[in-house]
Amino acid sequence: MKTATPLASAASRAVVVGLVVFAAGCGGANPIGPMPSPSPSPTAQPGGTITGGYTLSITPSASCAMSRTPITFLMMTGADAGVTTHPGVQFLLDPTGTLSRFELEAVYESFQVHGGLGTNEVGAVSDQGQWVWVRAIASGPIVRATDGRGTLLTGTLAGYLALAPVGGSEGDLGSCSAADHALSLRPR
Amino acid sequence: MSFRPLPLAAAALLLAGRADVRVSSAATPEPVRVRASAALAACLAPALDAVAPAAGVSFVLTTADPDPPQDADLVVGDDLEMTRLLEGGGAEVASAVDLGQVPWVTVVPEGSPRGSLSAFAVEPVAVLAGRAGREARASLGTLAAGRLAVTSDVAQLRRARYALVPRSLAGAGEHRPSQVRPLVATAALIAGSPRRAAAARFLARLAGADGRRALGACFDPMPSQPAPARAAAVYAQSVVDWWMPACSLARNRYVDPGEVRGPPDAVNLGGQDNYLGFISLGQGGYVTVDMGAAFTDADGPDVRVYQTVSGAGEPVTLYASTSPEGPFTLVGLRVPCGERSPGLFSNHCDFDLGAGGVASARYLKIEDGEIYPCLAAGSVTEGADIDAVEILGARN
Repeated sequence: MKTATPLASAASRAVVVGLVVFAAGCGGANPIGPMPSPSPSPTAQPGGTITGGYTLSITPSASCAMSRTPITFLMMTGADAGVTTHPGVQFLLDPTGTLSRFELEAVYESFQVHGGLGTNEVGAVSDQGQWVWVRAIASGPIVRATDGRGTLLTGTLAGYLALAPVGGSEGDLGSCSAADHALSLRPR
Repeated sequence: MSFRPLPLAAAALLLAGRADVRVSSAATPEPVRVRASAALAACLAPALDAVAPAAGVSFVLTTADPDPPQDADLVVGDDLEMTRLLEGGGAEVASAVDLGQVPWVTVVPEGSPRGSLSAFAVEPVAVLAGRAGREARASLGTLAAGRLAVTSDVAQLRRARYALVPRSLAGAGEHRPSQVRPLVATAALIAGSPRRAAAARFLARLAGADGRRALGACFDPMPSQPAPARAAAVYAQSVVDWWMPACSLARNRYVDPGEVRGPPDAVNLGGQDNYLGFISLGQGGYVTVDMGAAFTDADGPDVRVYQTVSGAGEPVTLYASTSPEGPFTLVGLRVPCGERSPGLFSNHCDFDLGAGGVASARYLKIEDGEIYPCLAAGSVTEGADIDAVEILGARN
């Protein structure tokens, strides 16, 4: 798991990096069925620990001629996030691994996440049953939910998004590159 | 866990999809297997016929996505189709050669109004499916899904009254130039091919004068750009920040951000994954450089990023700032970085500060735009591979 702290200098970064706690693993299978989602606290304190299961939601940009119905996935934080020069977070659609891969690798510091969200060529299946292809930069502020975990409510996704029905080809339901798809990551 | 069927694209990827196979007339027991994507195969066939006798080979041409190559000895595909094949070692980087390019055209009935297809197309707009068509499809992002016909069926593309296709697949009607990046036909030998010697001979002929003459009927020559003026060139002076995910750091082989400093110097030392002179950024990684002094937005492009390893045009995102701490302003988002740089191993892509509304900058943040899942990567050079960063515009 990862906790963000404001960073002002390389020295303070080093201190914070030392405080980052790693999860031993992602801890088992995805929960089955809907689970109550912790709400952000009324004061929306920045930060929070990023760990466990999350609902990743993408709403295509208004500039794209595709349905603006949110596209959601159940993602799990991964065990391979680690700290390199900055602390990072990793989200995986399927931590056990299949042909289909959907992965977010991002810096998490100063209460912000910023990184790459991408599928492989196979794409990924959303909770709505659509096939989705993404190659985009995810970013936004993390605030603390009631359970102490970090949540991204007002993130943006800048890049490529394509949709297809089951049995369709990449882009059958639209392809679009935009800098302002909406993104959220809510604990579940 | 419920079973969900793979989409057509995925099925094609995994099972090689539908492949049109063409056998040369002088078939021998061991013909060279050539595999080329649809937009390029149409141009290749007559050229292969033309050079096969001189190369002393017979061949089988399969029209299908070159990746995966299946039993091919020689593959021909666009940058987007070849990236993972070349970087993953399936094809030999050292053998890769550009045969030419095919521009995209918008096909409309004669006499159609000017302007966007979305304004006047009265039938679905046909657009090429697959990796090679990805940029074209995204360029039609304002066209509602119901008004698109995404297909790899060559006959359907050629029949369409409204289409956005490579010129080689355009049917009747008026052909209007498109801003979509031209397809670049890159040919490469498959690593470990049992018919490597014959395939190499075939490729040498195809890339030679006779082959290019035959290809010239369909492919445009690669643009030749003048080499930058080295004496006046200004390159990144130092690295002020960088990051790549632990996953990528553990898997990539070229992870020294200092390689971004100075002029482009990436080289292939021969063999698979044997390079010097760049950093592979991994999934979403970045490097921030100090250009040494502030520079201003000038006419035309201001910054050139050199990106390397293969014929691949892995995209790059660029941000600019006047301070090493930022804030950084987006200048270009996921710009394909595969423009050829004559005389250099690296390709490049250019950025205009003005496109991001930036008047001046000193610090540049170069971010991976390929954004391929780290855990799915089959390469030690995952992500955009940054060799150098150059200021093209005026210095203060």
